[in-house]
Amino acid sequence: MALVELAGVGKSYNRGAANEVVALRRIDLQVAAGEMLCIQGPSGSGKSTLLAIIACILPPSCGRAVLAGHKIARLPEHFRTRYRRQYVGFVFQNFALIDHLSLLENITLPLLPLGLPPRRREELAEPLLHRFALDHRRSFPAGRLSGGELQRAAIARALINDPPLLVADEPTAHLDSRLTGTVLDLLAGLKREGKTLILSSHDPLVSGHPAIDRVVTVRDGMIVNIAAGGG
Amino acid sequence: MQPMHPIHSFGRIQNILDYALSGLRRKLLKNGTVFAVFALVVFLFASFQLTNRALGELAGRILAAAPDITVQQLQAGRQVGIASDSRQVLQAIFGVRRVDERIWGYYFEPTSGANYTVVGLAASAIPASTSKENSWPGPEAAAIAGGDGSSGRVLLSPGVRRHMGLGERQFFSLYRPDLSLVTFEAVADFPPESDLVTADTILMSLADARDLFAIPAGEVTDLLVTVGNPREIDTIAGKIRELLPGVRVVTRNQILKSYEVVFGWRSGLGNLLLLTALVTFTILAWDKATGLSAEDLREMAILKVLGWQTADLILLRLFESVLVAGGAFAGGYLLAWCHLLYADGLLFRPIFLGWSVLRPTFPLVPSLAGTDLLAVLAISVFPYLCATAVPAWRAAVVPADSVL
Amino acid sequence: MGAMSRKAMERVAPAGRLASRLAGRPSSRLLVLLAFFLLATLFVVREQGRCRQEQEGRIGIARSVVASLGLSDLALASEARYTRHPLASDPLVVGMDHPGAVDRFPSTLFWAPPR
Ligand SMILES: Nc1ncnc2c1ncn2[C@@H]1O[C@H](COP(=O)(O)OP(=O)(O)OP(=O)(O)O)[C@@H](O)[C@H]1O
Ligand SMILES: [Mg+2]
Repeated sequence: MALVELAGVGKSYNRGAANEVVALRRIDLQVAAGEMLCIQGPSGSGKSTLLAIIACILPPSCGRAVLAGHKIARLPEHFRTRYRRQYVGFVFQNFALIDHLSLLENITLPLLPLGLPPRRREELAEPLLHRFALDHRRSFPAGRLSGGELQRAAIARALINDPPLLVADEPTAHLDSRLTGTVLDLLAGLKREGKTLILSSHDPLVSGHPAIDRVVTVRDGMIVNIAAGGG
Repeated sequence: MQPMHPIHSFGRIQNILDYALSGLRRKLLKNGTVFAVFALVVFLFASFQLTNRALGELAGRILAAAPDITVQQLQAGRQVGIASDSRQVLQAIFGVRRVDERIWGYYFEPTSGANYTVVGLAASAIPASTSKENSWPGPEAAAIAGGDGSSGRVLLSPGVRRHMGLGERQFFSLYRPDLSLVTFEAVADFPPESDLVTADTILMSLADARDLFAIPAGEVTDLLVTVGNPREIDTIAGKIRELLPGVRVVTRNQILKSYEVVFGWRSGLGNLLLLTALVTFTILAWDKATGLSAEDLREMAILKVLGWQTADLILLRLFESVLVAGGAFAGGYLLAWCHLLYADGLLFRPIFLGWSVLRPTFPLVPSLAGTDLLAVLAISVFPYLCATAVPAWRAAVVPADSVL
Repeated sequence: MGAMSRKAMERVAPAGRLASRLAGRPSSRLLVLLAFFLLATLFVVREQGRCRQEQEGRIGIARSVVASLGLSDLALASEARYTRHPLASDPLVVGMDHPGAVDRFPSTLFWAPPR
């Protein structure tokens, strides 16, 4: 069964207003569990919007969207948040770490409303810190981390709930080619553990990575091509 | 599929509280300033109220023993001496237990600007000494009464003694209206406990007071009526008005009410002054509470994408304002309470007591009243919470996609 | 940094675990603060009770003085009729109780009379 199913999904911002923007039109896409997908396209083509809909952050304006068997297209925010918590780890295009909190605090933010005590939160964060080589930076304020550390921290935070689906918006945009390779290898490792990954990128280095199963090309809010990836 | 993390509701609240606290601590200067000003406003209002209430209660309880009915003669709208003969008329009224004559006047001491209150009572009106605990008079009170009423012996308050510079000496002189001297012997002092009513008082016999003020024989300043049944006071007061037209009849209730009015009026004036403080505070609080920075909004949006519900965010903002407001309220009120308990309402006493040369000394004890608490809450915590509610809501409903 | 030192502490003294845990969370510190506040409140309320009792004795004496001598007014500001003896003046004196009102005895509402 597909983990993500989009059928005829469209999204317009500022609907009905003079400055209406149609960001997506009639998107049909299915992502199977365990798959690693790359969405590519030029800037402004609607990649972030598509990822936000998959990640239950934005409701689509029309169409059908199903995540892990739940219809999410017309859910009130409360339930979208609930499914997001349960199924999705989201990596922001701009990392979106909170500068004045420490790295550890940033990573464990999704656990706070679940009521986990500090010790338990640390226990959950420990393996992630280790895995992403962030051990020595755990008490650093996020504002003082380097670009690569920020990117790894953002991924670690997305994984703290152990979600089946990881959605990463341009995870390598701010990295040089060497770091890009490192991050992609980390993501590939996650795929091997059975996670489903959906990335967006306009970097051919990403779409060409051997772990990528399919490459979806988006232009002007429409899927123009779906190709098999390097994997 | 993946089991969802169960939500521990207590842990959730504690975590959000932790987050709110560290947020407050991070902006210590800003929040600390609001907290301090807030606490100060609460302290001022609460002190004021507690002083008002403590004083009002004290006055009420002490004056509960005031004479049932006081009768005074009016002439051309001014108070003049009343004929002692009116006693017989009053005595004849059914329900009146006794009628006492009193001369009550001021003795102004121009050099110091002090004003002594002279009370002259007939020998028969001065009660015998009691041996009851916490009661007055002791044996000294009887000493002022002479054989024919004139003895030259007086009781005075420790304050008057100090003010006259008497020290251990017993004899002092006062001037009659014609500037001839009368010499008195101070045989004893009033107990310090009664300072609130006797701070400026010199008690002497009726005849001595008449002599000092040169009041014609057969006249006194007022007649004090004691009524057998307190419920009949108003009826008897009405009867007196009928029998003695041209007199003023004052009942104890009216006295108490008049003090309520005095304190109420003064407290109203003080409240007006405090209003300024409140306005300043409101501006500050409004500025702080409604100022929602872009950084704050971004933080809220990030939290939302990370799985925080709107309710979690509202709780977070609520904790922030409740901690500031509640803490400042509790701290300010506690401080006000101590201000009364340990400093006797130092700050606002002058407003209630006015200026005077002879000052009574008496401790004030605060008392807790729900209405007072509510009033302070209503002018401090409530507006603050209201001011913070709107931005809290705006922050909590920030669309999750605004950080994308 | 904080987490590290906490860990180190626990390694040294497992018995101090609860204490260090309590001290670690802001909410626990708030609870401690609250406890202190409650204690302080309790203390001042008891103090008030003590003072009340003391005052009770004073009031008893003052009341018997009032009753014995037929006093009817408080000796607060004794320099003017309308402050020392509202009873002995007009019912409207409360309204006259104004800093601008000059009486024969120069008592004023809040401050000393001008020299
Ligand atoms: N909140 C919004 N309100 C209005 N228009 C928006 C909003 N967010 C995005 N858009 C518009 O929708 C379109 C798609 O935006 P989106 O961010 O999805 O593109 P993108 O492919 O992620 O671009 P990039 O590669 O630059 O990140 C753009 O034209 C953008 O201007
Ligand atoms: Mg984008």
